[in-house]
Amino acid sequence: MNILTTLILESVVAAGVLFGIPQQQKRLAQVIGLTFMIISLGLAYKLLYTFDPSLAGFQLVERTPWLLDLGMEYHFGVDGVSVALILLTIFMNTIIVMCHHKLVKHNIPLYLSCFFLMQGVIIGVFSALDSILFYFFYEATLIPLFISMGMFGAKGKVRAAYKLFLYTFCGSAPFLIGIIYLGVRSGSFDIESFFTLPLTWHEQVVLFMAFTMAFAVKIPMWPVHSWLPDAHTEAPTGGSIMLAALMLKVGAFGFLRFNLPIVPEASAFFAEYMIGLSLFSLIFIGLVTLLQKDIKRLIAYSSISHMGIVTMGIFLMYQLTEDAVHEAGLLALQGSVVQMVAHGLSSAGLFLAFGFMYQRLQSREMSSFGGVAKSMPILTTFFVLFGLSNIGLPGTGGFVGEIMVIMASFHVSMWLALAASLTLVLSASYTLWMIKQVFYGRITNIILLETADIDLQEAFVLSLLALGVLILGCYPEMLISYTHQSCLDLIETTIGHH
Amino acid sequence: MCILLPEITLGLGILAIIIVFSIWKKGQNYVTLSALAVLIATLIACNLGAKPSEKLALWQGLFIHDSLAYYTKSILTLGALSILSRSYFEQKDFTFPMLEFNALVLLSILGGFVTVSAGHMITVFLGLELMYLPLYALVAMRKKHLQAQEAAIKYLIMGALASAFLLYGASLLYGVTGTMVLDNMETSLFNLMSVDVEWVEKLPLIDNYVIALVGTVMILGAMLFKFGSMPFHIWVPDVYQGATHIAVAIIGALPKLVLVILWTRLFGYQGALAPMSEVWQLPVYVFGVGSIIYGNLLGLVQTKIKRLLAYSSISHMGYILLALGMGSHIGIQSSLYYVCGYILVTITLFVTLAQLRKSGEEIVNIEDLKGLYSLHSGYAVVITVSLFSLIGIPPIIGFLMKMQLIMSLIEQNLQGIAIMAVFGSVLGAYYYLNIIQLMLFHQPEENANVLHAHSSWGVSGLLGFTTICLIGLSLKPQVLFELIQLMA
Repeated sequence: MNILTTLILESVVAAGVLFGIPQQQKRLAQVIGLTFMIISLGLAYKLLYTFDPSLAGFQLVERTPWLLDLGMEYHFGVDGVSVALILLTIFMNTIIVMCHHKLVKHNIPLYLSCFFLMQGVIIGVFSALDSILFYFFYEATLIPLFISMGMFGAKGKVRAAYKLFLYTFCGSAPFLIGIIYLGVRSGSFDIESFFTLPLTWHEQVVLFMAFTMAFAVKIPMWPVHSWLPDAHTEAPTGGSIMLAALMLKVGAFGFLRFNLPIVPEASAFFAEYMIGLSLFSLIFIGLVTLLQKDIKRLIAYSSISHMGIVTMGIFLMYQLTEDAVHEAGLLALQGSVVQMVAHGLSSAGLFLAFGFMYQRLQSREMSSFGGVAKSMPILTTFFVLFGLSNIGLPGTGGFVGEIMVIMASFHVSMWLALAASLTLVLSASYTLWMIKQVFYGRITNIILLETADIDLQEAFVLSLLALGVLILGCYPEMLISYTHQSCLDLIETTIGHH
Repeated sequence: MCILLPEITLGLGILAIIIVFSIWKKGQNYVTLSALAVLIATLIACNLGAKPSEKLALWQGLFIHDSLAYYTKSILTLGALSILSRSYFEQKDFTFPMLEFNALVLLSILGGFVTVSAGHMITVFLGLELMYLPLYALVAMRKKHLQAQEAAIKYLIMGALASAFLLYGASLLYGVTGTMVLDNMETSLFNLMSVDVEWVEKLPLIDNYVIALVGTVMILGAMLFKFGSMPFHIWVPDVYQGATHIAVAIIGALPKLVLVILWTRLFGYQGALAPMSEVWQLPVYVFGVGSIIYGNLLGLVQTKIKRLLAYSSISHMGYILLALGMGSHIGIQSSLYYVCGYILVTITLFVTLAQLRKSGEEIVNIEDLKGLYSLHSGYAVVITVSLFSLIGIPPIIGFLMKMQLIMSLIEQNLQGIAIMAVFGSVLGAYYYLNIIQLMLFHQPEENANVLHAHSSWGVSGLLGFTTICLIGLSLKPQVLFELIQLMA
């Protein structure tokens, strides 16, 4: 059995086993969770070393019949981008498993089970090469998300869970019709067979719309973003981490896997609109973020704004001239991928650090904090580090991705680059403002005086994330060299068509 | 004679049960056991005969034996077996007279057998009546329950009306074609529709054409009535509301499969009315999409669980109608696939609901399910899985059912209908989620009457098995798919 299937099966089995453990058996669940986590890490290590980043095309491919009469297969395979995202998934799940006992008090087996299921399903999304299989995992992410949000969320959890579910479900309906249409046209649901399918202009436009509806909701882009702040606010900390670090990336990944290679001409046609939308959501949502009073909401809105950079980087290459595309286009694409990972790390760090704070103070309002730095200096250090990465300070992961995309946008027009770099200003203003309000100044909340700082375990988990942010910031080549070939492939397929 | 073995076994079994247990009054506890034995014997009898390689017609086409009928009988028996085994394991809980209940269920199954083998309008009518009359009685079995009486009367009157439509339509078609045998009727109608002569000579034919048209529409109406799809859906919520959960499990599941088979014989690609397809195809699409949207919209405002599931069944009948409306081979296959999955979900869901009790009564309101997860987590999980299946979320069979249906719609170039079908299912997601969130996300109220649940190893095993099937059949769909391909 292939390593990808093993990973997915292992996660699902872990979820099943943990689900079967009675609520009271906390210790047992923790031991089992840790065991499966270590197995996942081992498999991740193996994946990292069996994958050869210098080869073109999909690797570790495995095909088993699923329902051959309809052309469906269990068809898995990875390229550089998906390996990076799969490793990020396992890393995030490790973080969640390692600190779950600090964040949740009741029904720990179910909590762990939800996140192992999520891990398996998200790995499935990133490695599926059959479009129905992709949709299968894509929709199945809703079940653990919905349940974890509803079972462990805050007060408004039901409404937020509904919003999350219905937005995604509604967005993915046209996507399903689109892939079935393609499947009927090509006789198989293999994604690679769609790449070479000759589609008319009309078909391309409709399919582009259908795909975009699904992925724009997931990223989320501006007019369909309103589920995300609610979902982030009401979700348990683990859910917020998974949402910010991975679910949003599923949307961007969908653009890379479906929109660009399958409907390249329509993508080229719509590229300017997509860039316009990204810019709008970058600036408009950035301004909205400035108005937030709820810390989790603020981080959520800043996520939407930062994902604007990702979508912009994805569609930039169509605006470039023939000779610039291989350099600047590649830069933009790689910038998006780096930004995806960097944003995953920094926003997960912010949510986790805030989760530890929330556990102590039970409030999300910025006004109820103040002077946290005095009683919790270590937590403050971490929070500020993740905040700085969110702003895009050199030396942190956030810087690399943003600067790559902005540099590429110079090749299109200076004004575009200027507008895009506004994100740096905006995110600096809201992040620093939040940090000032929450961590510095006078202590306004009496509980804070008696609050202990984070303990060693919590600090360890946060330092793992911080390490990730710093490594990505200082030595991004590691990630870039991994994704280089697959970004190049993507540009070849896309522009080659064009 | 071997062809009729299942019917003979079942028929003799029913007679034996009725005679023995009306004399042996003390043996009421053994009724269900013997009903189960009869069903198992029937199942064996169904599979004794070799699988027919081609259509066999007995008595000038009164009775047909083909692979469709061959496999359907086994599926029907299995369905009845699972529902009756629930009543076997929960006998203490039973308030119905045992003998009547079991005899009615078995008789209804016998009716189903006759209907799926019908090759003649008279057999169709006989089979349908034999299947439905026991069902009316099943609804009425809660004698002191006013709503149940209302539901039974409604069901009976509406059902009788539909049968009258069927008979009238059949006699009109007989007038035109001069035959009641479905195969001959097809040839005759085909000749009628394909006449290409001068208009003067056509005049007498126009009369025939109009009569055939009216007859087709009447039969179509009767079928829509029995399916409970829009615009003949009014009886569905009331009947679901009045019947017990276990009766709904029978009413809501098994006749649907029989109706799909009957539809194949009447309207399918070699069916009796296939030549009239330009008359009935468009209305079927319209009513199919209408049912999906109407059922899902009205489901949104329901507060009673059985009414909600009734509207959900209306919308699912809409999907089946869309598949059936195509009339093609692939359409029939996807409708069979859909209906098999639907039966599995319905039986799982209603048997689980039948296990739950609130202050000694069956649960009525959706609110009654509040906090089920913290009280009886197993049942909550089973209900959640079946509801996710009804929404059509992977990895549960409902997803593949819908996917295959949409795929066949797109293959027939009906993209518009496919889009409406998918968005209809998005509409419905809300009310299913509402039940799920009440069960999982809330704690039960302290002072309210506590939700009780029967539990016995038999029922738990049954539900566990069907739940695993629901998930397993989407991971390994080849199993069910191959069966469907053998059938049609």
